[in-house]
Amino acid sequence: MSFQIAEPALNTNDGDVDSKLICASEDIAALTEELMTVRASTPNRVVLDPDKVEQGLAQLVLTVIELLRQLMERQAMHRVENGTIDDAAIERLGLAFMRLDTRMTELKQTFGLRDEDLNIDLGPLGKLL
Amino acid sequence: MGVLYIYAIVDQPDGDLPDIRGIGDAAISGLHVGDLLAIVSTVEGDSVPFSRTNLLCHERVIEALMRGRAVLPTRFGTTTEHAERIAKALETNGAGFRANLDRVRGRVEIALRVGWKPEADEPITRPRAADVADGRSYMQALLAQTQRSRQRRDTAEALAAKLTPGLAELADAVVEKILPTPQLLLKAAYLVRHAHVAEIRRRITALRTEYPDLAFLATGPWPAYSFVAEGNVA
Repeated sequence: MSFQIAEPALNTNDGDVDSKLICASEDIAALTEELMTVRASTPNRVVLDPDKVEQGLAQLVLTVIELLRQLMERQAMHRVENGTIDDAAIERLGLAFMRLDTRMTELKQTFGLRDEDLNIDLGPLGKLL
Repeated sequence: MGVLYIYAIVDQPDGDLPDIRGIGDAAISGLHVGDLLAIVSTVEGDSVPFSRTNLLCHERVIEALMRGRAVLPTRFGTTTEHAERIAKALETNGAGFRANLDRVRGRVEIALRVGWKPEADEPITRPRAADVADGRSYMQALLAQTQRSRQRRDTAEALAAKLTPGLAELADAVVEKILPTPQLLLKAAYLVRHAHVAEIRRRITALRTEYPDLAFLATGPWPAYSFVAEGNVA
């Protein structure tokens, strides 16, 4: 059991909650749409439902791979920007990242995962990626 | 079969509970452990559907509790089959709950969301392997993406730094996230004393006037939803 934070219900027109409105810009449609995007991508926790354990484990493993991929890419970018890597190495690294990208795309499709599913919520620590 | 729905953890266990019904029109009651009280009601089934009615009911119960007590609101949908588990959580984590109750006592949360339209308004997306011919092109695309992302974040941080200090100085605690999505410049929550609510409202309204190109949505006062995370019980 866990006691956790929740998002205030912003998208209601109920009288009680309307009184909570401090200010809203006239052009609020785009912002509320964006907030719904945030809300939709929030419940990213590893799924450990007994009936979906395979997907849950795949999500966990792919999340770790995605984290490592991003770390490696950042390190590679840093080296490219600093000019400490030659053309042949750039080509090799690029090919490796391309193949990893292709394989990750296939695996996500196989397990029915979206990009945002790999950015799991670590509670008080925030999002993983 | 029913389960216990948990609304909040509160102090003052001997005080009267507010005269308000819970989800499904069920009576609310308190599970008392030491100087802490978990506010619960019984609901049918093993979970509570995510509906407007249920969300508002959850909120109303918590706000009614706030009229006389310090309140740690729980996330909507928190349930358990066993009252003993709640009691154990209160017992095991009592110190954390008490510290959090002290932190939110006499305070409320003000939520602020600020939307923006970044320059060129063009989404920054990862290059896909299928879109490039060779490793070098892929690296060049990655580098371009990295640089654009960095530039956009720098711009966002500079803009947010102009908006938030006047609000943060009124708050006892702040949760701010810059660029949680590309179109959302800032998602913030401010824990403020009741006495500061009017002033923070005034300052937010002034910001809206000062920055007409940004889209502001500010709401509150709310229970301190964003400031109870450290009291989580796993």
